[in-house]
Amino acid sequence: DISSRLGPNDEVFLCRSRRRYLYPKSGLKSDNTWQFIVNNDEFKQGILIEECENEEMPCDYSLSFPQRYKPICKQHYVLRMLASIRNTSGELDVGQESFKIPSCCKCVLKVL
Amino acid sequence: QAGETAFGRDECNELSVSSPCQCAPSMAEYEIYCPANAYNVFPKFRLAIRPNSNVQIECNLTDANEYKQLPPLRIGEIERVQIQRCPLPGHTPIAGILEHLGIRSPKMLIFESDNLGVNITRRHLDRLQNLKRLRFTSRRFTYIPADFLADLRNLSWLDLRANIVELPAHLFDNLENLESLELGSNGLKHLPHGVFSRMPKLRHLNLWSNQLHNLTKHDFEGASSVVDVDLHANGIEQLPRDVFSLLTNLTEINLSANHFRSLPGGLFEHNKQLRQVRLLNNRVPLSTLPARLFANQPELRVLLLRCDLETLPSDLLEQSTEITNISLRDNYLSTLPAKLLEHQTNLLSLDLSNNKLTYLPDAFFEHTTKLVDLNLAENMLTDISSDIFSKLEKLETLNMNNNLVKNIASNAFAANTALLHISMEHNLIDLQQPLLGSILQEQLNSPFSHLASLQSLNLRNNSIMFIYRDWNFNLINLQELDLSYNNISSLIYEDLQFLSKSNLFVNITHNQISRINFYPQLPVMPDGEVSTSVLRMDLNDNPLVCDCTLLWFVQLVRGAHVPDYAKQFKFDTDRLTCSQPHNLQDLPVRLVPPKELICSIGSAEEPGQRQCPRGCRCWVRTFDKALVIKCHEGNLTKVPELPTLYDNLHIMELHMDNNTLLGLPAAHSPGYANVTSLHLAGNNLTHIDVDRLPPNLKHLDVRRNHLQALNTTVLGFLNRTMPRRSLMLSGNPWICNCEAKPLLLFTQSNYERIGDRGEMLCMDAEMPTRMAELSTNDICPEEKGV
Repeated sequence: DISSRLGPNDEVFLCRSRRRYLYPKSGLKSDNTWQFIVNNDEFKQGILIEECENEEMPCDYSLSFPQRYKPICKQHYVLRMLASIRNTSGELDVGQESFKIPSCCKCVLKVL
Repeated sequence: QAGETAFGRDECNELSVSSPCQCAPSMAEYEIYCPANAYNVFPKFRLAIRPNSNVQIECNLTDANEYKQLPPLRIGEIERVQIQRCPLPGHTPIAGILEHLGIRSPKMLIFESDNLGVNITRRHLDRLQNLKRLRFTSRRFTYIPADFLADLRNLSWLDLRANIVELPAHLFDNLENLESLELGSNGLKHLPHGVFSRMPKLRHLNLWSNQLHNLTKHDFEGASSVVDVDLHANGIEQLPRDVFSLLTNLTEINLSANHFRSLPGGLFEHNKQLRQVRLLNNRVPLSTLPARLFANQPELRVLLLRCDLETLPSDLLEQSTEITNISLRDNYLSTLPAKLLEHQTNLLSLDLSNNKLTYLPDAFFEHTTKLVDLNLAENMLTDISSDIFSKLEKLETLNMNNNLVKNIASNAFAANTALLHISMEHNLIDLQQPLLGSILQEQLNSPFSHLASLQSLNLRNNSIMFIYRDWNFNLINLQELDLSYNNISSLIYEDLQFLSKSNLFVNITHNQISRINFYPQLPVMPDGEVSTSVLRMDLNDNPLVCDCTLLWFVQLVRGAHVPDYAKQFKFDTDRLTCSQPHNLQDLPVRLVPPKELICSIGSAEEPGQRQCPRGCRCWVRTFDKALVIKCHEGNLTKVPELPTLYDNLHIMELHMDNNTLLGLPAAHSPGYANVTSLHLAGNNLTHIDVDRLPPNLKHLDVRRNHLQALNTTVLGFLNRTMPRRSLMLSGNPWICNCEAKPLLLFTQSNYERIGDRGEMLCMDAEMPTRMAELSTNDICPEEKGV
């Protein structure tokens, strides 16, 4: 029980992560292809993202999980709609597309 | 007072204008990036300020000199400061950073970094003597100087996690206010003697994930105020019997994830305040526990034991009467001593799931009369006797999923009237009483008949064949009944008459249901009581036979039939298809045309009982209550002996097209007298007499016969009885002379009745003439007057 370990009004996550704003110029769509995203001085699209500090590394406070379960930190993603530049048969136009965005870092148990 | 307000919107705006940083409100926080516009890269500093509460500082620095790029701020009173991924500010105090940001009197400091730059010293904590809480963590091996904490006399909570291998003996000497000490996840091999002895208020001691293999009672000298100790994941193989003897106020201990092969008897002999013991995920098998290990513990409440246990001593818990929760799940227990729980009169929850239990003694729960929650899932239990649960009058939840239960005594649950949830999926339950015939089985009550409070009954994946009437009538609080993957073969309306006051959901998918018999209407309840609850039933994935007996169910599903009782049901049938007959196979029930629902009638051998004449096919069509007899192309010269019409049928169709009939039977012959529809096209009839026409005839097809005339009595009969478009008369060699005058008049005045009037031909002329084109004068000129 971690809350009692740290006292009230404090929270500790099993995986460390960092948050930052991202102004991506291109991104990965859900079909795993890359596409340009509108981001210039006039039109900015900022996204707050959260990335694992140590992806695939053991989670903190994880030493008493059952044997044969390996707790590791895993990057999770969400799909976000962003204005992007489409190339439809040579014509460039701007449209909404959903892009894969790092959303948080979670501890998962891998079964060995 | 001006200048004393906390960091806010104005300060944030000003910062973006007057400094190289960028500040923006984000939810309830202000986020500052320095330098600004560092798109897509990590800025040197990220600050998140929650005014009057906490400040988070994240760095991407290699050199402590870069701290100079932090903007001077006046953040004000802050409870908690969290510094992450930052180097130490050289050999200067951390307080210098806080002062630069105008952070005053934090109560808590968290400094987490794997990139310190220099060794940590007492000087780094200068001017932080008001701190109540400190966490310092680093993944690097960190040398901690003995005087590191010398100035933090107010500290009540300390978390040091920095791969500390050697703890200086007097590190904690000044921390007389410390209550919580977290030393988990270091590399400590031993504890310096008396290291805890100058902390009279210490209550919480966490030593998990170290290498404290050889603990002795001296390690805890002076720690008598400690109430909980966490020693999990220390690689401990054995403990001296008296190791905890000085921890006389201990209430909670965690010994999980160690390497115990045995534990000494009397390990907790001196810990009479003990409330909770955790021994989970021991890394090697610990097949049993010493006698009386948890006996005589007046305060013990919770035991969590998972360490490959195979047996338990019968006196393990003796006299420990206050235990409320025991988890022994995920061990290898094959049975348990009958007296194990003899003194656990206050036990509320027992988890024995995922063991190898094949049998429990009948007296096992004799004294646990307050038990509320019992989990026996994933074992190999085969029987539920009438005694085993007979004292559990408070039991609310019983889980016996994934066992081998076959036999349940009929009064097994007679005492458990408080039960709310029973889950017994994946067993071998058929509820059949041996020695009783299969007809009787359905009339019997199930073992659950006493459970009027029951809300959910999960019998998924067993071998049940019936819906028992006590489920309908006794389980009046049932909300969920899972009977999927059983052997139920048919449903009648009565099976669905649940008296439950709740909106019950019954899952009956993946059974063997081939028939569903419903009534068109039901008698109104004598007391006029109308049930307002709705039964939802999932009927998908059953091998339905789509014959005449399914009519009312099909009409109900199609919404074509809406009897009063329909609003009590909601059927899930989107994946319910016909398995038979062949022509309807795989058709979803809601798409079956109700006229296609027929039942064949066989031909009995005994002529007197013959239901369907030899050489004919007969079926019942419930949609319009018809008996259909088809004797096509049989070279029949006369109408065979016909069955009589059942009382509940209204229509009898006789199809004898394309035979060689020469005449018809007497109108009142048994069977034939009931015919309402005669299909006789393509036969050899030369004349029809009225005493050969069944009295209730509504349809007559005599196309393609050898009829030349119809006499006036027949025409009178037809005029009286036949409805619209019910006659087919073409294809006959009609003779159109004076005697045919009544026939011609009949065809003229019964235009609507004769479907093929336009094709009737007079064959006695030189050229066949359409009867419709003739007038009476044409066929029978009136005698010319003299």
